[in-house]
Amino acid sequence: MTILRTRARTGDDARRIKHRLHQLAGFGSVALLVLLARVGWMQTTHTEHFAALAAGNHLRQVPVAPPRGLIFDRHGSLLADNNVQYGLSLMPSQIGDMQATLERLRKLLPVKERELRHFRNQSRQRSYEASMLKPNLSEREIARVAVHLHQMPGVHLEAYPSRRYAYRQATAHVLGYLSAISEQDRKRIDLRHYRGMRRIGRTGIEHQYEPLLLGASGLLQAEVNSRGRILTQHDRQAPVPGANLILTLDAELQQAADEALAGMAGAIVAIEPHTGDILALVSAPGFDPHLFNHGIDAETYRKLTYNPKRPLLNRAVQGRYAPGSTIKPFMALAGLATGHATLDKRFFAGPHFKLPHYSRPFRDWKDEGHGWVTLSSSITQSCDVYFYALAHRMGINAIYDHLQPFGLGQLQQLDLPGERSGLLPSASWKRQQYGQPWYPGETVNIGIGQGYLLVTPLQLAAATATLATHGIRMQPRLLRAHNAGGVYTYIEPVMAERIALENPAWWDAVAAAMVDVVHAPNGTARRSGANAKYRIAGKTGTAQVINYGAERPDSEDLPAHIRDHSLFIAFAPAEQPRIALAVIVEHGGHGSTKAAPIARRLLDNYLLRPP
Amino acid sequence: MMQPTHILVGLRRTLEPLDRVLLVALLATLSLGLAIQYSASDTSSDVTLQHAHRIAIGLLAMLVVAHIPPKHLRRWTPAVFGLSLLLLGLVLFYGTGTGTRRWLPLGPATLQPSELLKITVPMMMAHLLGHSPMPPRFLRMLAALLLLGAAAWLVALQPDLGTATLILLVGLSVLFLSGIRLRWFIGLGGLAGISLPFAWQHALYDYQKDRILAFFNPESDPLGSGYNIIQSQIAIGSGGLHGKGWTHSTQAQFDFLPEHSTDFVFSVFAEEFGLLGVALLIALYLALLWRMVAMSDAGSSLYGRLLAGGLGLSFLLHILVNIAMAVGYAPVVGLPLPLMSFGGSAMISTMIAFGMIMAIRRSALTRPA
Repeated sequence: MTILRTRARTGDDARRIKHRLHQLAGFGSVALLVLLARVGWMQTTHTEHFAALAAGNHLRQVPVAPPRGLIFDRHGSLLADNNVQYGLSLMPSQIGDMQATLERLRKLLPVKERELRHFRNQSRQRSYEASMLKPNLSEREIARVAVHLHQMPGVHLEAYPSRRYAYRQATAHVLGYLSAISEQDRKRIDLRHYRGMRRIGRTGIEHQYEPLLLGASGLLQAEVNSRGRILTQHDRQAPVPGANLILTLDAELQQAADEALAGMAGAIVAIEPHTGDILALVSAPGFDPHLFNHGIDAETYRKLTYNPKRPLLNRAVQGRYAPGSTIKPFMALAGLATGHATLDKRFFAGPHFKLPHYSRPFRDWKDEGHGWVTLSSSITQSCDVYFYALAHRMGINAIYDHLQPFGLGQLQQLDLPGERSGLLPSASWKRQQYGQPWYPGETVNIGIGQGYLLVTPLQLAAATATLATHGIRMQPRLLRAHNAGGVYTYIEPVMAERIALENPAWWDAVAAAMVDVVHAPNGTARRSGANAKYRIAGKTGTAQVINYGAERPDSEDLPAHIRDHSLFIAFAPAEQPRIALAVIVEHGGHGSTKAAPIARRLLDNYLLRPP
Repeated sequence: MMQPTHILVGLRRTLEPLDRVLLVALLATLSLGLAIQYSASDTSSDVTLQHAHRIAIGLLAMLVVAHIPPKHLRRWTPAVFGLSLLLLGLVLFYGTGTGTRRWLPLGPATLQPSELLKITVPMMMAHLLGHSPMPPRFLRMLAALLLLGAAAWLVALQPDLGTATLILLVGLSVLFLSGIRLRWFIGLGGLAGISLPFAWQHALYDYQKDRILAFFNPESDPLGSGYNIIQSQIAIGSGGLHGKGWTHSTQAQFDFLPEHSTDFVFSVFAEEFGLLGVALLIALYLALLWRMVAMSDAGSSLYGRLLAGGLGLSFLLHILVNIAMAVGYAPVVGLPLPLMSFGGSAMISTMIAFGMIMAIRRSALTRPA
């Protein structure tokens, strides 16, 4: 009985186990089917959503930067192109002992203190990405580092695209440079045009023609793994290279102009008169544009900005100078046009000019005065008293009306950023600016290019070119043509102004007087005209930096920083001008001592060059 | 002369305990596992061979265990369970692993003692509870609960919360099979509910909390804790009805899906073979489950029935938790998908479980009427 009962009980127990097991297994099976339903839901109605996510995971559209357009001079000499440079970059997150790694690297490479500081700053700000310790490695340095790279995780040789300027500082101001796209740029530009690019044209031609030089980014479809490494890639859309620019510059002249200004501060602008083509545009001192190629460090930049000679300033278009006596040919033409001067009338020029009711005399640079002069000889000898009197007779408004067409004190609309207008004063300007009337004494000073009158070297050169073309003022320009994808586009010169004189012979008369400046025995720039194989029409100018009033000490005796600016304008050959230029040497003293010899050298360079 | 026949007879006797239905379903599932390992390893023949090697060892272990009469198993149970607890204790001191101590170096191989526990816990529970009359008395139940708690606690210390929970659930399910009244379970559930906030405060590591939080809101940290869940769902969902084809998983090959050979192998499988493949796999799992249930039903002893039932439910729980995790229905816990995931200890312990169930079935068949 017991056995039987036990058996029966065991059977009950077995049945209960079976029952409960079926319950649990049944419940679990239903749960498994629910999971199957979930998978089914994910894999049917929602599969496109997940497929897109999966594709987004491993397919990346990688933008490919286009090669930036090249820049050539008018003869096809390369001014700017692209190359690849190598730098040593460190990924802080992959480096355990940064100090040890840096010490080790410094044994392999000379790393300057300021490069180290720059790196530390950068890597602090962006520790999740690589920062460059030392850009611009030489081949020897690359080789030395490469051998040790495998022992230093987190240290990489990084290739970066770089801009190379064949003439370095000679073209620094006119071509400008590239620098990293800044926060302000991001607000201004359409970032879609800059996919894959890190730099933007900052100044000069690089900035002015950014849209042409830029090109269009391409797209690369790449398969990447979860660590972002590219496994395979195929082109989706090839990048479109930027347009090549053909500038009006003459590289040889540009370089000669830069060399001529070596060690000085000043500017030179040379123009082809009948086209307005800028042949040379130089500002000194210059700087090495390559400094900006891979993010200039703060210290070097500070040195450039705080340098009292202001190398970053483009004096050719931004420097404002009193034209001094270089204004005289223009004043002469204004006098002829208004009838306040005639070619044949003789004038006695004493040591000074006196205005009624003015106690102070306006002195001539020549203490004893020039004696009997004509309009022409006043230009040749640079007689101040003649032009004091002429200016006084004309009055400021007539002067304004007749100098303005030459573009003096006017923006030239040159295709270069940052141009400044200078100042051609008038009575209404003074009333507006200072709420004061114009005083006659202020007009007298304008007659010799002093006072309120301020011009840029570019304006002076363009005005001189207008003398050469007998009044046809061409719009100065730097871009001659561009070439995008084999499509060559030449840009037609544009006339800005045509100055018609009652008597066209007045042009020749003033030009003749300017030829005498250089070639006559009494010309102020006669030393610079010696042995010239062609004839130069020029005019010296000496602009006072400080107003001494009646006493005018000899400039050569003054300390350099208050010495007069030396100016010279010229066009040549006088009979059939091919080039007009303006040279300004800051604190260079008399126009004939510094500026004129430089102009002669440059004219020789351009006109006597073997074909 | 008679030798070929002898060999045949010997072979038949050797293979005799193997259940044919179970064997066929097993081999089919293992083949799918081998195929997916080849693909998940980016067609590495080394990895695939290693997996095949483990399958072979597992099959051999299953065959050996299938020959052991359940009464022997029962006799050895306390010793085997004690040994597994000892190993579990050792792993806490000598174990290896990244951040946790789960593996015990054992000569050239490593052993994961918690995998061993997945067999010895049902054995021990069946040993304690498989007495007539059922349900077991309170003291027995208490003893079973204490031993179960100790085992789960040791695993939780590694720390391996997923496996600890699973072991706990397997033990409790054996307790349930043994006929414990439901009110005990309700009481236990209530106790667990009360202790949950304390456990959250004091017992869980931050990474464990992160995983649980990430489960509820994976988008909150898509590159951190939520990453696995999101990538797994992307893998499964992008598979579609037919899948991307064998060896064409982009999620695994481009390394977006972590642990794609082990914990998330289901996701790779679903990505490559699609809904049709998943349906086939689940059908195979259900077939294996119900065959095990049927074999438990046929068991000749209460011990055998409880053990077979417990092992079957353990198998089911693994599948449920793993797939639920892959589809985003459960937090990320490091539980393998039986017969599919890469991992020697889990493979061998699963095969041993099958061997035991076969042995239990065999004892019923061979028992004299």
